[in-house]
Amino acid sequence: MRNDNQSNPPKWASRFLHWYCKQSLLEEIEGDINEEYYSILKNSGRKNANHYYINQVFRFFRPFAITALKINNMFIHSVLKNYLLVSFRNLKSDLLNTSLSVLGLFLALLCSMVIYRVAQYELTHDQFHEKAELIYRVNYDETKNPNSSRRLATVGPPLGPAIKEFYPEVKDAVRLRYSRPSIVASNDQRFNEDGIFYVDPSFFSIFSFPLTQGSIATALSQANHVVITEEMAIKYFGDNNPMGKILTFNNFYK
Amino acid sequence: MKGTYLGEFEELVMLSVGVLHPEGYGVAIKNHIEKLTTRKVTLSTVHAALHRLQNKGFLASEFGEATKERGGKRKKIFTITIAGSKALRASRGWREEMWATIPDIALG
Repeated sequence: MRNDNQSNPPKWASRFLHWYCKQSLLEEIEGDINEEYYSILKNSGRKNANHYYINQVFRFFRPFAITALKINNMFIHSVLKNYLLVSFRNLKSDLLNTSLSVLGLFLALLCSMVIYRVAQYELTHDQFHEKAELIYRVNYDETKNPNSSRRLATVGPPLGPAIKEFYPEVKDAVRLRYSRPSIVASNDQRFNEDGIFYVDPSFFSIFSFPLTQGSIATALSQANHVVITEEMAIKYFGDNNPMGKILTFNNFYK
Repeated sequence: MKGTYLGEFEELVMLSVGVLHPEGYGVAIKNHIEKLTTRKVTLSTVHAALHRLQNKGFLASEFGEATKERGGKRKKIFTITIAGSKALRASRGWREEMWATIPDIALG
């Protein structure tokens, strides 16, 4: 606690008062609050006095004491004033009802914003691919089979080349095969990596992932080629150029 | 607010201004009403009432002395105007007339 004989009202409350209060009323209001503050300070100590001060500063936050904001449009000004007045009266006369209504409005607004955002996210996902409109994913649906109601997100590997051969409308196809998390190692670093996929060379013709180094024609031209992100390159090879280096994968050269 | 009807609290505040004359200001009025009615009164309601009354033309104000207790801020002293005293007298008149003619039975 302070050692002064005379302590002062909390500064932040005082600043708040100075901020909102009309200049013409500030002196008398602040003076009155101060007078009571110091008398409470003398009788019941600093804590009570400070509580009193803060309480009063908020109690004085009423229409008659608040600085008038300049709104030049008379019509808007009077309409707003009326709306404010009506809502304050409603609040005063029926606090429970009004707060429940406000809460309801708030929740409704919140829900609609969340729904909008989720929908937006789903609909604009992965739209950065140039050919996004033309890319389709083939799933597997057994529900027409009376003995089964299976639906799978994957199809057998032969489908890729087969669908290209049988349907001229299919310009190109790529297959991706998920590989389980494995230990990937360079000469100096080893990490357990997830997100490893085996893909067809046509991967880069279909998806728009720009290559920092190397060309699309050669990136996946051979079975032991690998394409990694820049982050991964730094992780495994530091500042060195990763091109041409070898990463082992579960101890096999791949 | 049309007409000269004084709200119950406003009337109390105006009368306090008269009783405390010439030292009728915020804190003093609040303490006076609290002592008289033994009910808690907030300073902000007193101030709001004082300004409403001033806007209606029933009270006039001027700055008084500054004291150390007020952190060097002057106090605003209120006085009853002619219109104010007319309104007070009218209100008193109605009440006295009714008090004079109310039968004891009605008061239980």
